[in-house]
Amino acid sequence: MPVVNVRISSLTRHFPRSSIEKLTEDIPFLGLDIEAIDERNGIIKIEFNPNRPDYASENGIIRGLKGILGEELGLPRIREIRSSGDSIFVDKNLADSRPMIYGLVAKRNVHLDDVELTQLIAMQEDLHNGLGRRRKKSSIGIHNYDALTFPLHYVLAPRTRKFFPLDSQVELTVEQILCDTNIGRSYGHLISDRESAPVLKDDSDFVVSVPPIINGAKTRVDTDTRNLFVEVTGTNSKSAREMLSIFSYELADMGFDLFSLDIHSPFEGVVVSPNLEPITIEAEIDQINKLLGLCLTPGKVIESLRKCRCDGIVNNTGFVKCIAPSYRIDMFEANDVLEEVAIGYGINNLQPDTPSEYFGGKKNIQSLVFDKISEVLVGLGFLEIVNPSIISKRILDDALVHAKDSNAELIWLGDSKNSEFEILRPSLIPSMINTLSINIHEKYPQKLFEIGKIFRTEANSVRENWSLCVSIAHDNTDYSEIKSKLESVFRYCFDLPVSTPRDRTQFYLDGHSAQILLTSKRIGHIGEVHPQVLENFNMKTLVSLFEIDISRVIQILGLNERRFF
Amino acid sequence: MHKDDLEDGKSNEVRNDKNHSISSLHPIEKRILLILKEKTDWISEINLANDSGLTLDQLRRGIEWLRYKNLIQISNSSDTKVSLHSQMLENSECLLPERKLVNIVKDGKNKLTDVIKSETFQNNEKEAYGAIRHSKNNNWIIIEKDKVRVLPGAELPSRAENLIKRLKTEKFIHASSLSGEDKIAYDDLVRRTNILTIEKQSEKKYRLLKENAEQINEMLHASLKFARKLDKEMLTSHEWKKLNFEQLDVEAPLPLSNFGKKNPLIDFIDEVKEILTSMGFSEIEGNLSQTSFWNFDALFIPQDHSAREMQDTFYLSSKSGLYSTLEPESKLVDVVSEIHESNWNYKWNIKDAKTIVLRTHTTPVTLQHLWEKSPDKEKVFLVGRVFRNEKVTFKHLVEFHQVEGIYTSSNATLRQLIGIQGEFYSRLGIKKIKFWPTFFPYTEPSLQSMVYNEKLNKWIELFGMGIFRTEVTKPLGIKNPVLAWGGGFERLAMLRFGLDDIRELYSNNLSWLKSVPKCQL
Repeated sequence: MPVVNVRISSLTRHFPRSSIEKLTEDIPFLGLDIEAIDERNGIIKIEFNPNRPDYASENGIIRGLKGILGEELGLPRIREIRSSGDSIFVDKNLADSRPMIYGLVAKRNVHLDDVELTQLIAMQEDLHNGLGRRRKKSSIGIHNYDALTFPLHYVLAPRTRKFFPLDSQVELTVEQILCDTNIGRSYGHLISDRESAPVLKDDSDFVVSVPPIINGAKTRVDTDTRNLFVEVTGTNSKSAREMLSIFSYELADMGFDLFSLDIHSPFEGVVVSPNLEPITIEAEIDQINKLLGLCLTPGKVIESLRKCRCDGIVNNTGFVKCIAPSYRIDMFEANDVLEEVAIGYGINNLQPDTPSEYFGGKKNIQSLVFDKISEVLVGLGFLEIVNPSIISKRILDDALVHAKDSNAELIWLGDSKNSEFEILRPSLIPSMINTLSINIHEKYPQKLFEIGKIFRTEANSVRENWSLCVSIAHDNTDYSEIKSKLESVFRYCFDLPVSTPRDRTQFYLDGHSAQILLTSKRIGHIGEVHPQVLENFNMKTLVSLFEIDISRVIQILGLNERRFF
Repeated sequence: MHKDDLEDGKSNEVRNDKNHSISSLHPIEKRILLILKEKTDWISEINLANDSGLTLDQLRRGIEWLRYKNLIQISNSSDTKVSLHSQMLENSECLLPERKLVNIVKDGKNKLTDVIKSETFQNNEKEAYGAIRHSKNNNWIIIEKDKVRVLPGAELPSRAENLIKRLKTEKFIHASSLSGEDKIAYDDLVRRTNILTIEKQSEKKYRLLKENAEQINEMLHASLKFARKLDKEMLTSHEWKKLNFEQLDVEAPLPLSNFGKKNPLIDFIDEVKEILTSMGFSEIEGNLSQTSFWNFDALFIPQDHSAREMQDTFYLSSKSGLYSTLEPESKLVDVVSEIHESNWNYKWNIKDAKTIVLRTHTTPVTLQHLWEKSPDKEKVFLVGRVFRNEKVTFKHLVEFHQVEGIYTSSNATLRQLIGIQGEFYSRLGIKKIKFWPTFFPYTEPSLQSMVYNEKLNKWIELFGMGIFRTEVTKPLGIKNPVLAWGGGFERLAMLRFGLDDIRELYSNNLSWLKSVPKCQL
């Protein structure tokens, strides 16, 4: 989760009556996690959830905190947005690349300071990665308004177009930026067109930005900047509008006056931007109370909403109309209103309740069968191990357990971060022998078992079966010893015999292995492990084992249903 | 470890009665005593081992017991073996430098410079003057101006020569046996270089403790009527009636028995299953491999959500390709796609939904259960493996367990969800808990539970919970609210087993598996 640095000094300035200890106790009740308190630098590091990108700044968090603490209730107030009289014209050729653009102008008499600049850039970064889906859906550019000549033109320009990019002393072509700079290489794939790229330029033909890659040098923002022009471009208009909303409130909190622009878009017509029209959702008050398990009055519902920086209007039909600020990207339907009421009411005020309806809980039958089998094996002196389902191809090969011609049945994992995690195990044997091999310094005899899932393909789908592997390792173990255990398991668990016709595999010592049949259906195999396998795993002692498909046993014996008679 | 534990416990228990245990003799003790009885003098360890036919190990053990019973005496002597140095043996007569000097002078070279230049000393002044010093001390020579004169005393052998002569015939002598003149000669020679070779030796010797001879005799006699242990023969022949039985060392720690055991993690899962079934939850089960549709789409997770990327999720493939037709759930697929498009404002792609992933949570199984059964009310849970494509660290695994439960009913409330969690934790023995709001894509409202770890004195984040979004439940045909909770199981297991490294749970280190106490409540 992304992290915001909130200055302790800002908290004390905004909440002079609350101690920092009290505030750090309150902050999690907004749905924020305190990651760390860095007292030396006077900073609290706060994690926010991706559904609340409006918490991507100190101001955003203070805005929320003021509500929950009752210092400032209802929709955040913002000064009236007047028109700047400026326009952006959008080129229809952008339809297939990055068609959406919105913007605003923000003016203030005070220069930006270093802290504000850092905060804006950090917020921009968080918005790019989350809401903007790494700039794919939307991205934001901040510019010095006073360096621009309006109207602006958002066009699809050839990649040979030259300009001075931000922080560069030399003029580069768009192509050079995409191929030769780090930022270009990171985000260049977002521009699909090979010949051209979206470019925002001003009326005197200066390049303002090449979204979503980089800004031009001319509109660079620094501590001499007073007035800002902010543009948001994107492939997704919802995401772009939301991003601009969040930024609008941030700038308003910083004391800027906001001015709108006219966007002349061939896709949307003439749009006035930013559009901070609040979101309204209706919810039934009875429904809210029923689901929370409370009896809140309409007044209390409205008070709770206002603590979450929303407003509420109750009409006489028993519905509350929740009015949420436009940056609340997480508000879709009635249940979202309910959550606001719960948070505003205070999660810690919700008293635990117990459902009164009776339910008879039970384990599923398969778990019961596993329990019984385990109990018998434990009684026979076996220790249970648990291994991952994902193994490396190497240990599968070393175990010789998988015939080459059945490679097609293997299931592979895509793009694993660890080389040991390559395939889903088609047998429990490789991990079993691996476990024995990492325990060669432990006391012998070692008697182990595992119950786990094994995987193979069946046409184009995955077949998962439960398997049991039982093994014995010591200097004298042999076929008779392991077969005695196999017969014991079936006799003690099911009072049934198994038959073991001779079998030949690479994995077992020739002449010392067999198939396992239950009511003449094949359920597994048994034998003394081949010396080549033992050598592959650096084993210094002998191993005998058997593996059976328990899903098959359950099916053969009809154990999938509980029957008394 | 276990041995230490046993020995610690010993201090609180009744001590073995020494006199009682003394009254019997172990066969090893008996053999040692029988030999020592015949010897009046000390006997060395090697000789005792040879005579008794015991191995050195057995012998040392027996000696230890006998010493404890105060029946024998042990002498730990150390000595020095003295022999002639190899350089001395090079000249057949084993002449000392001082004797060589006298011989040179006798041969006519009496000028000091000539002596030093002689073949014997080869201008080695240090050696020559050494020889002169020793000759003078022996009263063999006298130096007059630059000339050496041999005195009549030179006809007599020196103390040192006597000792060397003795060493030449005896090959080696123990330093402890030297006395008188020889001892003085030895002390002198041992300081000179290349004359003697010495070798330190230590030796253990034993003999009976004379004062207890009578008791030993008695014991040897009595032990004939003592049996080490009861056997079947003694029982059936009634011979046991005539026998005394030896006193065992009943306090000695013994190796632990090999034993079978369930895996601690599985054991703990069972414990949790028992708690949940007793709370009215029934267990369900489902596949580890799931379609993206069930793992993500059905849970209202948009197709461009970062959790769906390869970096976080394992996509499965095979030679012939893996995918689902999504045929059986095609109607559901249509509804879900519509909800995605209208809420998330993007073009939903069925191809992405057909891919197969290793489930990243257990929730798809719960959803399938709800879809198949469309219950009005239900209380089910599952514990199962889930997978994340993460780097393995001390707190992250690629494959781990999740526990998850749902309760659906027309009367279900958020307060009940809090109540269910509270009861679950309290049955596990966790007393102090609190809840914070949080976010999950498929629940609204969403909470996370924090539990207080009294040992570490801090709050720990455990299970998440919430009410399934109607965007999730409505397409499944579920009308009533569904309370859902769940989370990673290993975190809980680490707290239970006191582990700092999550990987330990799957290390399959047999010592660890055996060491986790079976009875932890």
